Amino acid sequence: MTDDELLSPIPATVNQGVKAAILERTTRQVTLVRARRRVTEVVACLVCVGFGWTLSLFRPSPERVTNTVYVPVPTLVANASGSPGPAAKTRSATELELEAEQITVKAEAARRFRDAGDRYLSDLADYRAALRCYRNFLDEAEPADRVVSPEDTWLLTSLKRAREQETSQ
Amino acid sequence: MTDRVWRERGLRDAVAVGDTDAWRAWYEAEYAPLEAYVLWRCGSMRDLADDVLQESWMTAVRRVRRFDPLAGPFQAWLRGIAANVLRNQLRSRRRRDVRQRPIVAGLSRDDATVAERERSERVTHALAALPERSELALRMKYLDGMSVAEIAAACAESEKAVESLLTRARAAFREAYGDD
Repeated sequence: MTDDELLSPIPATVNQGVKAAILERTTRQVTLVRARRRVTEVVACLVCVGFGWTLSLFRPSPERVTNTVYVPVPTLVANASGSPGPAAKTRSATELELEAEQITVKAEAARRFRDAGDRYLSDLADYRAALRCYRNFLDEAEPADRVVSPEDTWLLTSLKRAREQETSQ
Repeated sequence: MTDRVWRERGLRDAVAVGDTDAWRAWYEAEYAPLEAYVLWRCGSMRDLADDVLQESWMTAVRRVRRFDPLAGPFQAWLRGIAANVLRNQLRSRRRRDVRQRPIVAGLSRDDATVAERERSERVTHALAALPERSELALRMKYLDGMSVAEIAAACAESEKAVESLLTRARAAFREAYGDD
């Protein structure tokens, strides 16, 4: 036989049975790879969770630190009865002053002047108006109210002291 | 990078993560050329070719992650696996034949079939004994049906060099085949 005869491929049809069998076996192998991969992922996750859990068992829990934060709470000036007056709660300094001008009852007028002075001082920083209201308050107030008390603002305290000095001279 | 490299890299990565559809498509495209190669290398011995094919594909699917499209086409990689599998098969068959010869000799067989079988086995062994370069030249010429000019272009050689290579490859084959 010549080289060409020996080396030329003999025409043959594809063996479909073998082809299908090999495909089935190899596909099973690919599926196995996928399954193995998933199992590996799950095992890796479990190992991580287990590791974390084990660590948490041996690690001392951190000390609880309590930070106390003081929050300033706005306080309302109490009236004579102990509860904040409605005027002090809702009305402006100007309104309070006007009301004080109109009220004929001295004690009530004094209280309104004081509230108005507080408002001018704290809300508007209007020292001139606050000074005017405090002066009126001291004019109208009972002697007991003219004594310096811890609830007084710095301006009122200063005025009261000045009045006391004037009186003593 | 060529389209082939991108396509084969995509298929490899898909198969590596267990995509059976990708594997089926790849297998369908590559089965016939590999079968033709294996049959040629096996001297058209169907039983041997089937064994080699089966083992080659199983090896390929197990080692698909190692396939590098930049190093060459998937078909070339498969052929490399098949050539190794065939070499191992021939070795183990030779050992088995030595053990079984007295029994086989006693069986009654058609002379023509025996002669044909013997011829195929000799072709297979002769091809397996060839150097890789000679086998490649003969494969391109006889299996792939390429002309000398096409082989020269594929191997980046001159036509003269390819003709010389083919002459030497045929001589080596004839010597390995052992028939004048």
